[in-house]
Amino acid sequence: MSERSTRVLLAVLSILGLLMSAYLTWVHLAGVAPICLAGSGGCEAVQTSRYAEILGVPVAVLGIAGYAGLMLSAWLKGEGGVLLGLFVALVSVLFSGYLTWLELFVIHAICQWCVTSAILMMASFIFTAVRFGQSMS
Amino acid sequence: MIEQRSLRLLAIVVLSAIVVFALLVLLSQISGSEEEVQELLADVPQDGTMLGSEDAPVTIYLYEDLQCPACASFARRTFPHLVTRYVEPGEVKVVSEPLTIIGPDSTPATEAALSAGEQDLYWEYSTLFFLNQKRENSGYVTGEFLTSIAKETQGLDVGQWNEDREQGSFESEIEAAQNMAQDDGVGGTPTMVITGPQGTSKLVGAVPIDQVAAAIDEVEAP
Repeated sequence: MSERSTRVLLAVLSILGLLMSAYLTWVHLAGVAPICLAGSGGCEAVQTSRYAEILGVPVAVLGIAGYAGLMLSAWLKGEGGVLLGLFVALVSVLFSGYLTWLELFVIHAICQWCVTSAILMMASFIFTAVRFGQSMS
Repeated sequence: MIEQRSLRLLAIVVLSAIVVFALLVLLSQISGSEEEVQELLADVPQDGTMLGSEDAPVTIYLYEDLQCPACASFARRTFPHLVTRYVEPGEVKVVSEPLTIIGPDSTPATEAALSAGEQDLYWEYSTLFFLNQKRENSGYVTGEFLTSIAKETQGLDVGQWNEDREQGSFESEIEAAQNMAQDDGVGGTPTMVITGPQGTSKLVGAVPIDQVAAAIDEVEAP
């Protein structure tokens, strides 16, 4: 896989993540239940939990920041883009893991949107790691 | 040489990412914490399910179900502003009308909060419950869970609370709230019926403080 392909794939994942985070931010601010398959109970429980905000900032807004950072890294050529992407993806994948742990063991509810975001972040992390490897060789 | 530099950069990136992640986890754990709830309600008078001064000219009847996610959202995002802007200064009192419409777990949850109300700590207990709320009807409302909330409630005599919870009969209070809800045409939770010298207003859902403020303005004396 060429570095260009890796960057394009990273940009595509970022756009998907940005759209999803924007939707979840709107849901949070409008105080409505997110659309989820098989009912919105789990999604609503997660979205209205105390962990849905950090110091008053919706976690979905952090998602927007994360995906925007990944998009910027995909656009940037050279070492700056590689390192920025790796940094953002690593923070995001660790934080997604923490949020998934909260869903499973603290809130006892699963939000399909959050799981999808965690998968997108994991995929982004893999691509940023591949890009780092490509930049070393 | 190049490889060494790359590895050094990689180490910096990984370490920085771990630091930022740890900071996010820390902030996530401290925001909306139990301490904030106790602080918010510490100086506000309470009597059973009533919060605020009995002489307050405006009364908000808050229909809520402890299992309801929208009620938890209201408790976290709007309720603190309502307390500091209107209840603390004595302009408004809030009376909780607990409903048990979501499912079987709602009843023990309500009984536990009403037991705390016997010690005039209903609002601390119910707000802490909302902060720790989980998926509705998932069976999480166990004796152990309710007791953990009771232990977090500052000033609550947990032994007495447990005795009241096990022996107390709250059926009539729950039924009275249900009847009032029917009379007020409540179709879901949270619903606020706001009454004052100028009349009555109703708000449905986890509305922001601005909407509550507008409704209070509408019913209070000119």
